[in-house]
Amino acid sequence: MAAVVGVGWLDHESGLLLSLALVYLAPITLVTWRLGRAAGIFMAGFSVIVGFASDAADAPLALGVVPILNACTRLVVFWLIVMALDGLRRAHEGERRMARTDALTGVANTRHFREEAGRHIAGSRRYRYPVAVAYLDLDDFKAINDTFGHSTGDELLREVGHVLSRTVRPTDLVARIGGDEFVVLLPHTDRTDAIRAMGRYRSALLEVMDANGWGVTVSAGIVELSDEIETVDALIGAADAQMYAAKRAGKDRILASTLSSGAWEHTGQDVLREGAAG
Amino acid sequence: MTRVLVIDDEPVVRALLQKSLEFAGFEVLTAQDGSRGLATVNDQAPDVVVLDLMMPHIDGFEVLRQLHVDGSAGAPPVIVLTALSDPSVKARCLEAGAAGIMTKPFDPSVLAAEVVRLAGTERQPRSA
Repeated sequence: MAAVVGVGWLDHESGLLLSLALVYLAPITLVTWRLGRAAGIFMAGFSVIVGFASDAADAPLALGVVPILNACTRLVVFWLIVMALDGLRRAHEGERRMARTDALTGVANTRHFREEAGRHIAGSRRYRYPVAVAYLDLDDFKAINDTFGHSTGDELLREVGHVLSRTVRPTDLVARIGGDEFVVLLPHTDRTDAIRAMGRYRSALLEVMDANGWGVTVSAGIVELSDEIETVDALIGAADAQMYAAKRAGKDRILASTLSSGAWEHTGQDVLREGAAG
Repeated sequence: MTRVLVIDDEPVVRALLQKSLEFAGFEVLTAQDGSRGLATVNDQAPDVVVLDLMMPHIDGFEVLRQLHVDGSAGAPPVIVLTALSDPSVKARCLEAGAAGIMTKPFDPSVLAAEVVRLAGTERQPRSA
């Protein structure tokens, strides 16, 4: 608004012949892009009023209605520009959202997950906070597709994404990174808390599977970030390896480990016991 | 309650069918191969049999044949599950006495509806 007043003052000082009408567009476009349509229209209206005041103060009476006509023209042009820019802004935001989202399930996609995980790996190095990643894989999902078809399979995946997003803590990030493979990023969470949280997420999933008559179980691997893990790939790979260990141990369970220590197994009975896999 | 016997050698598919049929409100028995399936039909008299075609040893065709040849006029209606959409396979199943055929993949609700339809049909009195 200060910018508009400033332009108005310049407009006034520069006299009638030098038109600064287009300069008002700078604050208008900026505000529209940052704050959206309503704020943009407000700025356009405000600019027109300031411009009119500036012209009216300069104009000899002989010009009559010319300042009013000018103001009307500006109002229409500014309004059109705000609307066009806002349309562009919405399209741009939609694209950005889509670029981060898995189309089928609505959770984050691999790219977004990798960005966030990378950020937390760096943050954890700098500020020394724990980060855990859980890798989830549905057990025998292929049998669902083969027996009940892909539409049932897709519906199941959508439900998994839905339940996970609804159940995880606001600071966790759920992403789908493969056919029936999901990952959860748990920042500021150590292994013990991650196991507890995943136990909850898993129970919520099993409940929904039962409620739909699908009976699909979940195997999950949990890894807490440690000094041996330096990249996002290594972090995901370590959690994936735990998930495979959970599959080998008989599916339908959670295995958790840091790379250096032994594995812990978390079964459906909500008990922790030392597992065999490393 | 309608009793359904699922005969399938694949444990995962068997569990899946059991879960989905139980969800649809049926009592479900399972058997992991043809001979056990035939024994269960004799012992437990299910109302409908859901039979996988491709099984080792005694396959689905053989189960169908034995159900209908061995004098058991009261054999329960059989729904055959197959991943083969070959019409000649379907014809063979029907000839062997199948009451219905479902080609994988199928919607679980369609299987449930088929079970209801067949369980509702008049059953022949058991001769034995």
